[in-house]
Amino acid sequence: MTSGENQTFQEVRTVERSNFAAAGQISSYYKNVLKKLGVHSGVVRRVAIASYEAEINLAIHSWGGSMALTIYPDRIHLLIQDVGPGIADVDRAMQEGYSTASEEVRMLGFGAGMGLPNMRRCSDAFEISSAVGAGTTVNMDFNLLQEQPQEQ
Amino acid sequence: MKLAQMAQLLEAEVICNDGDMERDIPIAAASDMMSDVLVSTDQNRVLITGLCTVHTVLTAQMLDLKAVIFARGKMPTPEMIEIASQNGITLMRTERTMYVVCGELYSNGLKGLRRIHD
Repeated sequence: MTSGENQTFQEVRTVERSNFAAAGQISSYYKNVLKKLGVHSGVVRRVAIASYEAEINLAIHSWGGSMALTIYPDRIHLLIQDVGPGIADVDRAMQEGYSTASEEVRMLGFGAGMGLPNMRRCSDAFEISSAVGAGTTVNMDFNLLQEQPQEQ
Repeated sequence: MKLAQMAQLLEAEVICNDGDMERDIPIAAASDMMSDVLVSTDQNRVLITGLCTVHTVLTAQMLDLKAVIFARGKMPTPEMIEIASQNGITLMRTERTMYVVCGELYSNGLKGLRRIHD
């Protein structure tokens, strides 16, 4: 992402460590922003799903982090960053069904090991980097200029 | 299947609805794992679940689902009802178990996704 690009909207919100009860509020807000801007409902839904999965992940696994939504004329960008603990084996974390979530989290309906693969599936470009001790960064892009299927 | 027919078949209590019980929803999904529900982007599903937390309603909101049926008599909280009402999501509850809810709706014509990524 270059700073010279003509962004039309940007907002950054922070996610607290272990605040599972509040997880979803940012994604809910971002979804409403995109809806109000008239973004195609299919794209809004894919961004909302990816954002919600990321927000849940931050609440479950991270020591705290942030979620930045930037809207450009041609794409939506989500930047997810946390301050740790970092993922030891990113390839394994990207496998469907692999999860390190606690039993408590599973009781709340999450931790099936589908979060990161689902973020990749929902986005048009997905990039993750992580190091133990340094935290995790996820970049996701959602194209706005592609023709979208009509929805009822 | 229309929401009114679902409610009738399941003897369900309608907790909130935007006034349109004639809304037709073509397919259903049943799970207590919201992670698994989020794997499909199909918005034309009614969600059948025994998981009664704010994340159930948030999952429905993210997916643009129009209705959630709580099985096993689960009662949504005021916070859940508020989020659902704001987003036009119908909430119903029934005393029946999830297996029976699925069986009754399926045998009356409400199908599901055979695979997630159809």
